[in-house]
Amino acid sequence: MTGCNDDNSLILACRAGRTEAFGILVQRYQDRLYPTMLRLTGSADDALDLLQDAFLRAFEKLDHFQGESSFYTWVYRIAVNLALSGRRRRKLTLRLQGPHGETRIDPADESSLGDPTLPIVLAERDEMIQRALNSLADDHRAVVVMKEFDGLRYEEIAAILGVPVGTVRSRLHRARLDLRERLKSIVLEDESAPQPARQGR
Amino acid sequence: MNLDDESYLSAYLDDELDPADRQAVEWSIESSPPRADRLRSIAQVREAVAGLDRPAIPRDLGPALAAQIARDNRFSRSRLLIKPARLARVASAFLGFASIAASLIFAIVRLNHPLHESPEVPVVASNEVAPAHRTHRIEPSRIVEIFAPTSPPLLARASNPPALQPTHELGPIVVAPEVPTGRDERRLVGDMLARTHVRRVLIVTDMIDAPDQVRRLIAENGREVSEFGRISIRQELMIDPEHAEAAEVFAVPIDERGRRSLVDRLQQHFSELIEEGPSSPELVTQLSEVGQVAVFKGLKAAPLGDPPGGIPGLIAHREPDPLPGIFEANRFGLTGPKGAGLGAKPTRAGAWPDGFEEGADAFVGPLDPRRKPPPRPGDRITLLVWVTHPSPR
Repeated sequence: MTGCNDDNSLILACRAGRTEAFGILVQRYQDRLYPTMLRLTGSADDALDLLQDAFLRAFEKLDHFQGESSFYTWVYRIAVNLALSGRRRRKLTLRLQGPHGETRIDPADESSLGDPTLPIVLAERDEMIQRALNSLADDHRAVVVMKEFDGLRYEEIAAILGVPVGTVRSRLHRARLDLRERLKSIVLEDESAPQPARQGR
Repeated sequence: MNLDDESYLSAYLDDELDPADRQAVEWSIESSPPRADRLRSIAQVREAVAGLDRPAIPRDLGPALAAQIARDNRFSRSRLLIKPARLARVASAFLGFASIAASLIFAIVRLNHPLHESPEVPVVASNEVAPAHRTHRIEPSRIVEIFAPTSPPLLARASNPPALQPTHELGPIVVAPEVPTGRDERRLVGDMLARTHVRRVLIVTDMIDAPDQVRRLIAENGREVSEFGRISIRQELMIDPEHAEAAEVFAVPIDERGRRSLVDRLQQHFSELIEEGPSSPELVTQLSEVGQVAVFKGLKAAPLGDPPGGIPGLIAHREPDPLPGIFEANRFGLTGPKGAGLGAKPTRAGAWPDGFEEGADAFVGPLDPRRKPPPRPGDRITLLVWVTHPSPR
């Protein structure tokens, strides 16, 4: 990669109207972002939709990007907040409804939550964990995914969500307790696991 | 620490406790087997989620999104950017009528100056920005560095990420005012003096042989003025899209006598902060640092001489292909008047003609000022003034 192909150069190119440069930025980060979006949405299709929306939003807001964080972090933040936004939830709700508003999928039925292709993509254990994640409240799920899956610090999560660090900690703990109840079989299976050690990021 | 609040267990696992709290949690775990069990189960949940598969994205979104952005009007950034085709057209038009010679960089002015003295000419104030008083002091030593012959290559600095940083200090634009004919320089000075919130002023004088066309361009579309500014200096020079409205650009057809009058007047008011120097690649650096321009291309720029068989006075530069495989077709795109390419090709030995280096695809800057005599009284030139405003934040 040349010095002119770094993110800032590509961003300048985008601002200059070279949309191909934005395509390169998308290609650079889509693989890192997609798994997180998949875990946030529980559906491959929704993850792709969300990611596309996030990148388009990023392009729209590119003038506001001041380089204070990395481009990846910036888009990550946009995507997570988009996933949590009411607009996004409404969209997902509409998807769950037929043309006349009838419910096509019962959200209360955990076995049918998520994309039908998920069992193909994910292993059975993953599917179980994903279903447990799906059952969490949106803001709890987001904290769990950002912490467990992406390894962010509380402070970083708090900054992304715009909440105090203490809120992150309490949400995360409640979410973990909730997951523990839903994943008893896994937790019991792993009961012989060694004593946990403190782990950093 | 209240150990009944077991969120501390999560924080302990995540290494988010200070040493004292960590020690307290460890003590509580040792003294409470049930709590230790809870900690273990939480850790298992934590590991279960962390161990989730990370599938690859099933399809590449890049090309589709780039195409969507390119064709969708919602993403039009027309006000903020010049599309390459348009840039080429405008550049070509200018190259057609203007045998450009760059001349002088005059001033970087901090206008925190208390402008209580009455302007000598009527004030054009209808389009002033809201007050925003933060100013940015330009260190004289920095100015000297910018214009020093030994200053780093312009584009190397312009391409540095920090070049993006100063822009956030800039504020809103004042739409480039229409500059009426006659006594232009006096009105310009008056207008500048009336703007108490200006952060910097950078004045460039371009020598344009077609003042009527310039004037018409300005009259037809005031917003073109800024485009005029950027392409008259360097085709790849542009107002920073992030802050396209943070600058206003005055473009005044003027003669040398008027220019001198303007300079004299500015020196009266901003004498300490005015610098003069030849237009050169350093200009782009300067503009980048001001935050008004973003230079995308190139790592270095140097006057390399006339292209063989090309347009006298134009210079080219080397640049790594910033987007390999994408812009190759345009490597020699923005070249020459009326779409004529520079036509530079490497020799059989792989060497490039004098004036070119591999990857050069555009003119670096204005005509080498050394190639043209300085303007004489009566010569028509065009004055460009970038005025930047402080951020209201």
